[in-house]
Amino acid sequence: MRIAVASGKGGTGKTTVAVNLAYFNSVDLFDLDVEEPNDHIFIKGERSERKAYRKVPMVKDNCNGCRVCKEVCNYSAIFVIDKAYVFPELCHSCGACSYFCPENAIEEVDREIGKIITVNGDITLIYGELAIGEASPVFLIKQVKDSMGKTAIIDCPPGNSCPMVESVVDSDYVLLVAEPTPFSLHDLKLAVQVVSELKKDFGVVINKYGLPFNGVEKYCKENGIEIIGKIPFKAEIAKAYSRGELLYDLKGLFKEIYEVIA
Amino acid sequence: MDAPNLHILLQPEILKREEVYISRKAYIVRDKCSLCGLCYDLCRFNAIKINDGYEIDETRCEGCGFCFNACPEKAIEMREVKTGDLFISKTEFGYFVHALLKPGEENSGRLVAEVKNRAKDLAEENKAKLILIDAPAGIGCPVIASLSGVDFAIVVTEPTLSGLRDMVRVVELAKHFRVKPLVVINKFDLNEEISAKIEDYCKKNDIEFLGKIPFDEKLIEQFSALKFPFDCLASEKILECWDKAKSCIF
Repeated sequence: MRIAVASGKGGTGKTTVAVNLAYFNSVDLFDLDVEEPNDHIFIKGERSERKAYRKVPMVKDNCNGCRVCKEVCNYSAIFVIDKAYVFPELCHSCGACSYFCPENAIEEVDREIGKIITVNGDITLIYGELAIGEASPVFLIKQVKDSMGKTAIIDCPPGNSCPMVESVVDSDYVLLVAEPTPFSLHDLKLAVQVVSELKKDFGVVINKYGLPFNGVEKYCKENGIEIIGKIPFKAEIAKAYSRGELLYDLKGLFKEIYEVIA
Repeated sequence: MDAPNLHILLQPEILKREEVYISRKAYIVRDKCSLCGLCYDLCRFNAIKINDGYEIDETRCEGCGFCFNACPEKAIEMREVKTGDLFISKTEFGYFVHALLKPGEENSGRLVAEVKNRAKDLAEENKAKLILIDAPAGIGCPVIASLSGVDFAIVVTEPTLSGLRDMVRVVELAKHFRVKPLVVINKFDLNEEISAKIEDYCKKNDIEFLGKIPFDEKLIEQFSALKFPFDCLASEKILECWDKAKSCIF
């Protein structure tokens, strides 16, 4: 089973849940938060890395400036003066320009978008690291997912937009991490909307449990959403996280969460 | 925008709400489709599904229009879809613009740009000197959209190994776009060793360091009880950081 760990809001504890869940249940871990990957701080082992690319257009000398490429590009990634010029940062790699060019003057070439890193330790961690200035994490997320087997824990990027969707779309179950604050509740509701639209099974883990706000529990109860686990609000947990340490004291809890889902 | 929170705290009085349509998605008109399969072969986003004929998987469609332009039967239309809602409000602290991305939708960068344009218009109308932008997390398109055209970026980090690494990535991104970064450490006392490393990094790289905010349970309590403006040690320190920021900005 592939379990995606997600949340609307950032900073609720996705990384904490994902790394501990994977480690204590010996499951491969995929960190798809390629903009700011952090799981590797917790999972040690032998590293190997390779570069990741996507295709962008390159205009050849035989371009006659006919503007067909510009007309079919929906991302303003091409402009034409005497001949066509490309803004590769804006390109979405759809391939339309090279397909429609009547002169065969556009070739697609590799553009580096980041790295894919594998860490072989007690468990295997695979993650992507987006190159600075590269706008879309989605291409890299797709490539990191290529090596995913049938059993995996997936640490998703924060938010409720396209990178999050791309990260949960191939999972069998989505574990939403929330904390007892009105902000987290607000973003949880949005995340529930996304995973419901994608028709995924899902449940909630409450992190920092013990804070006085009870709106998250109330919302889950009223909407028949299962609360799979609760991680207590303790300064020691935040400190262990800051040092890049796993939560050995909560091993039992993470084994239990996994058994309930899988 | 895909998880906006500030409006919960500021409880703004909404003056105007509008729907924003900046995304387009392909739509296959079944009656015109000859089932040639060209769109299926060309689409790089696996957005064409076979379901008793061809249809578009909206969650995967990037709106590139490749299929629309290529279809020999002209059986594909590009239809506008709702990107999200945009709100213009008044709070007791000033005007406030925010947006809510339709959950799961893309083009969040363009929605950010739209929010910034409105904020700029409002600021010019009201002769306001300063626009504060609460930026999303990460280094991708919505963050780039937030950074474009701004003068300063206040980078808020925390003293964790993750925080240190992510801060360096955001600082690099800011410099890439020629925006001057100013660094603040939140919850600095959770790990003073890493806090010292962050300060050291700023010094060595000639980055303005605004100050350190302590881990303060009172702030978390007031935050979750929506008692704003905050009144505690952490909020005093935030004000000190802001004073220092102002001396850099003006």
